[in-house]
Amino acid sequence: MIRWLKTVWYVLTLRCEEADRLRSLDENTTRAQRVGEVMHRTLCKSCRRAKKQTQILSRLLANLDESASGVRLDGAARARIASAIDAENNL
Amino acid sequence: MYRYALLRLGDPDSAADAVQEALLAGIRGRGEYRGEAQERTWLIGILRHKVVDAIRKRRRGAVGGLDEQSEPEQFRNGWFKEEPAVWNVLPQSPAERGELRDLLVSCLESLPDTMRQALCLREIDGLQSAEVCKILDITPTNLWTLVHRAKLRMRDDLSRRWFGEHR
Repeated sequence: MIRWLKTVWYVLTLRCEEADRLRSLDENTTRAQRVGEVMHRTLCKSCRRAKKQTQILSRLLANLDESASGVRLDGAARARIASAIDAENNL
Repeated sequence: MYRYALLRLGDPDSAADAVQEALLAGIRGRGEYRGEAQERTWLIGILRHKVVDAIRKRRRGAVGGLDEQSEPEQFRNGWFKEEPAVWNVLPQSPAERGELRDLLVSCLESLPDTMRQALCLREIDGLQSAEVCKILDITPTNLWTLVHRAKLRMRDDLSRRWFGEHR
């Protein structure tokens, strides 16, 4: 009974920061946390927007093509790596 | 390969070392390459191990001065101070997509080391939380806080620098 009341209290008193934290890693959340997050979000416009932002950010990160950006090894590092590869090939 | 290592290690010398070690490991183990994946994908797989080794060597449970008790600046007494911006303009042209990609990388680079590593390993590399905790030598609660704070900062940065301008 006390456990049930604690769960209801948690769901009813959940604030944006905790709801946002719950959304940031969806693994290992308890049922009470999931229910609390959904209920809070239903009533909170800021959290609906924050969830949308988190979803888009996750998608952008998962599809990030790092190889296409312009950062390159500097000349000295390139030369060092090339000579290490030469040495390895000559072994 | 260098870009991959640099984003996770945050230091050009360590990133170059990891690339060198990965290439040498690739040459030594080329007999094991069965051609099932592209060579680049295979080498990135080797590089990921080298990067993880380098992170492990540098980290011993430090969480980069993260104060888990303090409230992130976006909140007051647990509530959002301001409504988050509406994100509804995603890039259409290749040039815009490139611009957004560069901005994402720059936002990632601006994060503190541990936050960036946690976010990269979890969200970009898709590792399970338990694995990330082991690599970074942190607790699941630390990881949760790090990923949350990292995403908050990224969302703020992108709201200001991309979605604000393109609205």
